Parts: sequence; structure tokens; C-alpha cells
Amino acid sequence: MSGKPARDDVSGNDPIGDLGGYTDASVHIMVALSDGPRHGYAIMAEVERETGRPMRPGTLYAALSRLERRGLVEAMPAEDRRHPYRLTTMGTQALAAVLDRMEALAARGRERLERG
Amino acid sequence: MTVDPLLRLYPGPWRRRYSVEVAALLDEHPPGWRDRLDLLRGALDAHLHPWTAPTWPVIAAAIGGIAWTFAGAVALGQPAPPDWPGYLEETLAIFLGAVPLLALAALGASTRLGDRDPATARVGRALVVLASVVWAVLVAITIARLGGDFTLAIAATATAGGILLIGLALLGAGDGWIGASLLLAALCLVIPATLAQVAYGVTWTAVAVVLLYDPRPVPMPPMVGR
Repeated sequence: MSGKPARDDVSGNDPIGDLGGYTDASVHIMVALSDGPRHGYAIMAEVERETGRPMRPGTLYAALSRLERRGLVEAMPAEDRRHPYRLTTMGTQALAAVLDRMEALAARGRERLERG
Repeated sequence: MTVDPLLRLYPGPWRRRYSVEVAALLDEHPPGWRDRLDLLRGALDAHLHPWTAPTWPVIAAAIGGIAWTFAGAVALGQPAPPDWPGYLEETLAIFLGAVPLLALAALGASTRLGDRDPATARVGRALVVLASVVWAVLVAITIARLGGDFTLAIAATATAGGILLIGLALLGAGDGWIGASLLLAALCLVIPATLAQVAYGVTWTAVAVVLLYDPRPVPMPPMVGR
């Protein structure tokens, strides 16, 4: 990765860039797309299934537009007014980097809990 | 196809790209009030984090700046009034119109941060909006001869605080001209002198010129693979 992590990024998700308040939503969207393309509603449904919390349309498209502008996801040709989205190669690399960081953080946390 | 009125609140480039599929999503799954609130928040977010440099901040800064300079210059040419607001009431209506315009201009200047959304900019934007609303109400109360006193200065100072924070965020992002101009504007606003008020208007007019001739492309943060 080039450049420093954003100063405001406290979540450790800087491989996807500084997404402000949409970092978590963006990671959930990328995870939802990790096993294949999905359109907007299917992404919302998958995120709700995974997290138990609904993702609403304003949040979905605010995060999707940021991911698309960064070249991390891309729209496929429209099917009945709806575009399916998929991870790009760069998006797949970025998601892998984010998940590695989360895994490392979780491992450190578990280790400390066991020590404490 | 019916387009939800909320989607009309989004900026043009966003609507051209996403409104058809969002409308399809909403047709299929009618939104509840929480979804509507979320779409409203999304529209505000899209305006504050635009894809291309918007024109509305230029217009707001130009009209607000020129109006403020004019009102300040009129006040500058007069002897000190024996009572507040005295004959300055004639210019208060101009100031009243300029307060919300310059609040919009401050919000517009913050769009140059692109998707960067540092806490200083978020707090600055909230402070500018809240303090400007209070300030405008207090000016209106003064015009209606219902009062108006030191609370006007408090509201103006709070607005200056918000402008200062946005200016600091822009300086932090390397936007030197606009960042420094906003710091100067904040300083002018807290100096209790008519000449400083003229300078406040001139500064915003200069901001409009910079926004017009240097429509900074929305910066992209660094990311994997670049």
C-alpha cells in the first residue's frame, strides 16, 4: 500500500482507504460480494443475515459509490434495472488485507484475554 | 417507473448513476421511515462528498461575500450609533440574508475534502450550521425590535469556531488557499470592529473566486495497489 494510513482511521481498515463513517458498511458489502456478484437488495439481505442488523438503502449506496470510485467493486451490466456488483482484483486484495488485519487483531485480543 | 421524491434530493451525477436501480429496489421493497431517514442522510452525504466540484458553494460564497462586504462598507461609513442597533438596522436585513449563504459556502468549502472526513471537519460543519441558524434567528429578532444583544456575538463566535475547524481540516488536507482563507474569515468574524466585518465579506468573496478558478478535483485517498 502506498501512502500513510488516514489519521482518522481507527478501525485498521485503511487498505480500502479513508471511508469516514462508511468503513464498516463497506467492509460488510465487500464480504457479501466475496463469493460472487450480487445486486443491491441481495447485498442488503446478505449483510442483514451476517450481522443481524439491516443495512438501509442510503447507507448501501453511499458505501457502494465510494467503493466503486476507488475501483474496489464494479457494476456488471444491468438486469431489469438492477446492476449486480462484484469485487475487482484490487477489491479482492484490499478485502484480504482488511481481513488479515482483523484476524491479527482478534488473535492479539484472544491472547491478551487468556493472559489476563 | 415512479421515482421516490427523496431520490430527487441527491446530486445530479449520483442520480444519473444510481437512481434507476435504487428506484427499482424501493419499488420492490417499499421503504419504511427508517429507510427514508437513511436515504435523506445519504442525500446529504452525497452533497457533502460530491464526485465533481459543485457550483453551489461558489454561488453562495460570491453572493454572501459581496452582500456582507456591502453591508459592512455601509456601516463603516457611518458614525457610531448611539444605541444598538440604531440606524444599522438598515443593513441587518442584508446580514440576515448573508448568514445562511455563508454557512452554505463554509459547507461547500468542506466538500473539497472529498471522501476524507476528519473529525475537525465534521464538528466544524455541525457548529457552522447550528450556530448560523441561531445567529440568523437572533438577527431576525433584532430586526423585529424584539431584542438582540450579546447573544448575537456568541452565535457569531460559535460560527467562527466552525469555520475555523473546517479551515484547519482543509489545511491538513493540503488545501492551503481555501484553508488559510477560512482561518482569516474566522478571525475577522470575532474582531469587534466594522472594518473586520468588511474584511470578512471580502475574504468570502475571494474564497468564491478561488473555488471558481481552482475547482479542486475530489481527492482520492491512497489504497491498495496504487
